[in-house]
Amino acid sequence: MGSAFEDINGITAASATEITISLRRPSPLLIEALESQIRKPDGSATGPFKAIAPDKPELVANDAYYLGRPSIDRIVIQSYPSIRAAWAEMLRNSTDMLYEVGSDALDSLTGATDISLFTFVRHYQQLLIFNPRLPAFREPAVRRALNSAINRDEIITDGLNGHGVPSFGPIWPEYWAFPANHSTFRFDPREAAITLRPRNIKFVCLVAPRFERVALALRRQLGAVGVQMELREISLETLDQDLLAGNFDAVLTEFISGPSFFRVYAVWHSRGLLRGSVGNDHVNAALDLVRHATSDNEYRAAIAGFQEAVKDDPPAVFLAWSQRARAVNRRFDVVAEPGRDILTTLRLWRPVVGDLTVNRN
Amino acid sequence: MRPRIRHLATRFALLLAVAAVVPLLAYGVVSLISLQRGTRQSIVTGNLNVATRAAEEIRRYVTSNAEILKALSAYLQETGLTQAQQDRTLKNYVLEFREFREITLFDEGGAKIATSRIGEPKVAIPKDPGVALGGVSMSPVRVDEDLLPTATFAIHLMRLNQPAGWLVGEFSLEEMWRMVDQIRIGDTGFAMVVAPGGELMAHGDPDKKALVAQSTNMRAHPLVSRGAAGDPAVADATAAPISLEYVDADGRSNLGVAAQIPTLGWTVIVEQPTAEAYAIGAELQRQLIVFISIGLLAMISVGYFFGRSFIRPILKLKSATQEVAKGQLETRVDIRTGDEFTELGDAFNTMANRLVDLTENIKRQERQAMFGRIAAGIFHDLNHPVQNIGNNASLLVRPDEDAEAREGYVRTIQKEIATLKRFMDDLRNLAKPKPLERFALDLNSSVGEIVEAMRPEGDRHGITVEGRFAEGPLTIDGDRFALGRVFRNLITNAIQATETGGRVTIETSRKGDSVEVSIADTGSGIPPERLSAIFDDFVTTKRRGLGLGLAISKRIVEQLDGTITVQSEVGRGTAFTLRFPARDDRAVQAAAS
Repeated sequence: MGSAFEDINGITAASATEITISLRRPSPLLIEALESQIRKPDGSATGPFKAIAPDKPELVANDAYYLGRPSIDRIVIQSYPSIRAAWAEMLRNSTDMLYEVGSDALDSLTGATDISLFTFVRHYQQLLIFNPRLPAFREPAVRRALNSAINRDEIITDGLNGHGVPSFGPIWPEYWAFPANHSTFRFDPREAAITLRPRNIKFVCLVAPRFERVALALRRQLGAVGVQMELREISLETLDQDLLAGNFDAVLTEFISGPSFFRVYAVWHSRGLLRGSVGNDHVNAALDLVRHATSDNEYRAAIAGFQEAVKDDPPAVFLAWSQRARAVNRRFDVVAEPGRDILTTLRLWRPVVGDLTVNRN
Repeated sequence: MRPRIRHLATRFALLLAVAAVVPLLAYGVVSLISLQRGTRQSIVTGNLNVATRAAEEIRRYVTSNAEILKALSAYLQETGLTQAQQDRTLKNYVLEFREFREITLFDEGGAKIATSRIGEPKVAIPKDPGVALGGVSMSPVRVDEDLLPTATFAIHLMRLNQPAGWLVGEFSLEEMWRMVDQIRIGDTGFAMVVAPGGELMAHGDPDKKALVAQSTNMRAHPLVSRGAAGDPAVADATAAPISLEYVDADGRSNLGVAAQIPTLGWTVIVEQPTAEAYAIGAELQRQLIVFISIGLLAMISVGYFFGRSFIRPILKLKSATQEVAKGQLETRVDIRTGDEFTELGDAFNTMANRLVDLTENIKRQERQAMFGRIAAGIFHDLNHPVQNIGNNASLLVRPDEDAEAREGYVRTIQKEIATLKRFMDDLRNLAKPKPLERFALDLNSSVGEIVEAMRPEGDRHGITVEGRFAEGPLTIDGDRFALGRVFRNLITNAIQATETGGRVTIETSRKGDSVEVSIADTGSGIPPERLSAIFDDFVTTKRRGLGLGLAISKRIVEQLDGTITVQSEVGRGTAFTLRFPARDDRAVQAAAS
């Protein structure tokens, strides 16, 4: 479960439903790390729903869920080859929820009276990751200049059809310890060009097909400050392999980066999931301070320090948190909380009896 | 049967209604029809304008993007860019013109030269020429996997009149969807775009977008089936928009209009429920009907009340006339309208005053005539007996008269005194009738006695008095003496009215529950004009008498619940018929026992 669990001295079962974790030292990220699903082979689970079998896309209500049994008894997950096919099935009332509606199709689907669309900002952000071993990116000033060269609003408009939120670092903007006045990159292409143009930087960027438009927009903006980014299409699977192997100059992809800070730690620490293929020592040090903070204040300060480290020695160009929508048939009364994914309240959904209840976020 | 309108006020109200309201109604009907037609025409025209404008905007949107691709092809051909430059140009183009999701340049053999895509191109050189848009061919629109409407634009490049490759772009018509989405007619009117083959390409109703996702064919739509969806090969720019009312699959009545996009062969249909489309017109109609109805009622009410006011003097005159007719001669009218009605009222009052004077004069003259007749009658009836009594009294006191003569004088005096007594009885009866005493009596017996008593009188005048009596007793409830007087009076009258040699026949009979007695003579008869008055007081056809006999007889008969009638023919005689209710014989027998 990653380096966060190195802080654990031991785990003992206190009772049938309780465990005691003893730590070698303060480990604030451990609590966030425990958000991961715990599933046993016999089908018991800790969430409101549990899978009926590891190989079957079907969930049933967890009677033992500590906040109470959900109203929905059973969830069957069905795959469709395209959004169009899934949407058509939903409009035929064959499907109750469409997991994700892309930003391209969002506008044309808004307004249906028997379907509610819930837009939300995903915990995923799109970013251009630099290979820290590539000489062209070795200087922090170059990476800072690359961040300053990017007009994130334009990227969102051209690449995400306007559905996204600018990103200036790996921390989820709503994270509780993230300071409101955190430092950000200022869009200054002239200043960036002063740094970048003399260096005549050229690199190859691996891009998954779904990020093509963002890549084109990014390529144009970098070209404007004298940086030549060659785009190379690659499948997501191959991209992950190249990423882990460090076999890349730069990668345009998206990472989950919220809502907890543990995910940030897991991605960007050199001992994390990407095994040092991204990040740098400066960032590592800042992450370690967060990991071993002994109080809330110390933790907040460490978070602010991490953001500062990212700004000073950015391991990537953080572009945007992407926006998506979930479509739910209005036969369900959906509890929607502002700014949150409706799946977080799935256990509270209820089938509408009689009159339809309209919910909009 | 034609209904009769008795009241003048009602007639007046109806007259006003007909005179004033009928034109109003006619105006209303014409207005309603004009309103209906005008509203429909206005709605249809408005919706047609929307459809036509939308069609034009869509046409411009598509053709302008085709022009953009043409401009790009010209740029690529004329500038002699390297392959890398072409590649960069295409990549920048798709960012600049977001409708193009991909643009790829192929050589004539179909190999990629440059593309906006990072990887391999998704588009290919089209095999079907599609719709021609000024050098750009456009494929049919399809909904792609991301649920976006997409078409492929292709330009066959030429250099020195030789084929030099293809520029192919994937064109997203998302903006067309937005255009269609933005078209709202009222609350529930939407637009849709249909391809030449009937495929639904866009629908403004969010709930109907499923039809687009399902690639629904709209050939069954009334506007499409009527040929609104044109064939681009034959469509021309002058194709007139059409409108139609129809019931859709949901059973809803719709007003639909269709406008073609001639270049593309697409059809823009604007559809609105008729209930909503004509709602304003319907509301105006309702208001107009209410207004006309209120106007009608107001006119009738005004007419009625004005009519009543107008004819009030006439009603007064009518009422006064009726009062006068009832004998209330003192009735007068007070009409102060200052117009002809006032003059009419004054004339009525003058007439009433004159009528009072005339009535008084007539009464006075009648009283005088009556007094004269009574005086003459009394003089006449009393003069002869009194003279006889006087003469016989003078003879009676003469010493030379023998006893037999004296006896004769005494009988004469007694007879005349009896006459005077009867005369006095008549007068008394007239003034104060004697109450009748009703007992069961046999009419045959009673009449028979009178006939026998009167026969000598008939003989004395040479007249046969004959009695014919029905079988058995004819019992009635009657006063023997009063009835005797009635019969005697009638027989006396008959004898007096009959010439010598004539006949007076008295006959009794039973008629059902009644008993009849008829006294018929063969006398001179009574003229018809006098026949109706013979039972009145002081009416007589004789030279002597007050004319009270028949009046008294009639009074007595009616007091006994009987009737008396007369039939007479001048020169042939007169017959009086008396009818009395027959009395039950068993009751008579019981009474007798």
